[in-house]
Amino acid sequence: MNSPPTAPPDLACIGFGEAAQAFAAGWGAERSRSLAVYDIKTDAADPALRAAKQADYARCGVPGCSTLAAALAGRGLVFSLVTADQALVAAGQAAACLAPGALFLDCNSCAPGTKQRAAALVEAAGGRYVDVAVMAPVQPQLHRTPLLLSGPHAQAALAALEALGMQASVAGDRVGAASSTKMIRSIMVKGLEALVTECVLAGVRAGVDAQVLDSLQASHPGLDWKRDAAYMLERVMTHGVRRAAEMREVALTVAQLGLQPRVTRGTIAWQQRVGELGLRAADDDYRALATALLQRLGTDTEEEETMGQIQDYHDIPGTYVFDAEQSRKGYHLNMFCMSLRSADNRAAFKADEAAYLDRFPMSEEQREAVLKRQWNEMLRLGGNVYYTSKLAATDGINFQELAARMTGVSSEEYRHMMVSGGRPIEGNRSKSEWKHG
Amino acid sequence: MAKLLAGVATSHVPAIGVALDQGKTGEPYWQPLFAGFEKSRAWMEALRPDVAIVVYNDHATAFSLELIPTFALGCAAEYPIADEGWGPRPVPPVPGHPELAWHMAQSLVLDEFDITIVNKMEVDHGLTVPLSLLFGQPDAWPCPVVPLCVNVVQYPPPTGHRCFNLGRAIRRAVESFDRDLRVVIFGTGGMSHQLQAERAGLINSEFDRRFLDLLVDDPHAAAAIPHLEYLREAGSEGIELVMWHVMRGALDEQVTEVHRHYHVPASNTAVGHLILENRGG
Repeated sequence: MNSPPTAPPDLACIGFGEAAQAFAAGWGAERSRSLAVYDIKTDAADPALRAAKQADYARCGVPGCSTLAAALAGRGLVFSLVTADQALVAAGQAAACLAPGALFLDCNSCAPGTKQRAAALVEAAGGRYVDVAVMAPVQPQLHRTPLLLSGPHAQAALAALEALGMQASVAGDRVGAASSTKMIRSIMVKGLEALVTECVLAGVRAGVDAQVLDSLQASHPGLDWKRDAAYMLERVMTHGVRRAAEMREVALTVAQLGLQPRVTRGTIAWQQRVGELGLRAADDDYRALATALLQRLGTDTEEEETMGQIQDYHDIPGTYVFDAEQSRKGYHLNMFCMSLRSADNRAAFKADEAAYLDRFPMSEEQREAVLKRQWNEMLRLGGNVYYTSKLAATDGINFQELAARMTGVSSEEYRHMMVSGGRPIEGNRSKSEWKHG
Repeated sequence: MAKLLAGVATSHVPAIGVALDQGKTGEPYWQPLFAGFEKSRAWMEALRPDVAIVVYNDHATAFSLELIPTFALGCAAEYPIADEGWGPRPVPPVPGHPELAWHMAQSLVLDEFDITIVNKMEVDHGLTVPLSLLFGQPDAWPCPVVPLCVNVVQYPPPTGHRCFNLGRAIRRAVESFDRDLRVVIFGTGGMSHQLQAERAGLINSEFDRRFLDLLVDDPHAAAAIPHLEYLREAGSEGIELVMWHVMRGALDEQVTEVHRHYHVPASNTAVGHLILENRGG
């Protein structure tokens, strides 16, 4: 080993799930004892969750801290190993109590844009942010699992990780390079799991699973189809919810590249659906796992969350009906708008829009639409006009001016249209009528 | 016993409130709209009801996505005026009628309308604009109000048929209240309008006029209009018209149309207005 002579700095971990536990196991007992760990599950309302996390600490021989600030105090190297949907929140909270100059290794699987926002928070607080992508399952390689680093502090992080006996390489000096690699790779890795899930479940229910897998084995001998199917089903059953959160970031990454994440939407739906069942994968035989799953799914009519059902009103042009799907999607966006009813909040928002928006866990797309005042995009992403109008009011825009902006005409033109009797119903009933426009 | 005398339907466009509050009612843009309510104020002045039940919707003011009651009945003694982002309207707070409201709440639930009871609520333009249109600009509102708030923001709102039947149950509730109160009921919102996205500004006068006729003469047919038709024909916010069926359901099958007014536009909206009296009178 040609480790650098300097000893690694004191370590902290935010989040102590599968990845953190694997790293700790790889680092060994002595280093584990000197770790400072914080996991939000120790603050959970459910006593069983709290107890389970304390049991994880005890089993791995790591000292758990009761607050994030206690875990980060004086620590020079911080691993953020939370779930993808919590990564930005964790970075924001860590920024408030990070030791000066500490390396903040954001190892979560997030879209590059999310990482860049997290980086801004950490850097503003005097931390050194590193975009880290975990490039393989943490079992069985533990702390030797390949990591990809990027960002201006990637070289410093590389040295620190090598001192810990970890295996990392640098993908570039731009935050987002490592996560893009990981995200785009995940389209395949987690997508394959979803494909296998659908294929095997359908095969077992139709009674043709053996024929299907044997035929695949002949065509694609690179995989051991029956064994790998069992492994993938187990992954989806155990980690589906977490993977779905990660795949939402993947979908965003794809969308930000100007492509439609059509397959990834399906991946999210399968990972979420199966993960939510909470079934324990108690077998290593694919057919046994599939049978248990099929029993729980029954006749599966659960709505696909990302696709939604086609409704009769979807044919109305230039209209977003604020239905269940939109409301679920837009909850945080709308609640942000609702907060602007208070004059204090309006002032705080105007003083620093981006910082104010951090209080609301909305999606990257929603956030961008708000910052850019893309009024129709906000509606598409689940906003409701009675809520978005509160953002408009904050900007001094009334309902009529807002309508003008949404329809892409000047206030004068819009007003003139209204005084002349409004937008006529003829030609505006159906999307089919708009195609010729 | 209390008696339900008449129903009032009117749009509740916020810009109408702004025009009233800023003294713009005589301006050419607004004059024809307000002219249509002069007779209504005289009618109301002559009627002098003891209580007004106002069916309206909250516009993400008192309720947010945290809590979305389909039907919420105000049982408070007073309702403060909400700040909707521009400061509260300069109108007096709205006095409640807790005795009647609580009686209605109990009666409605036992009549199988499981309404939500609200003891603290700010009221927005949905309630105050109709009061201004019918009572003018007094220092204190001339009669107490029982607000009935209907969700029309989160799709789907209750069906027209359900609203109509709620109106009937309200009639039974009012007329089983053991005090000699003379009651009017308001149905507010509409008419055709769409405030959102690329189709904003939609007005469908033909639909609106047909709706007015139907509501007066064939209320069951009016109540049977499906949601899709409101959305498509009257605009995404035109679906507020379901609230008019509550008012209509509280009246007799046969009513006398005392007054009608229709005007386009007020801001983004077609304004419709009806006064209907029970013939038992």
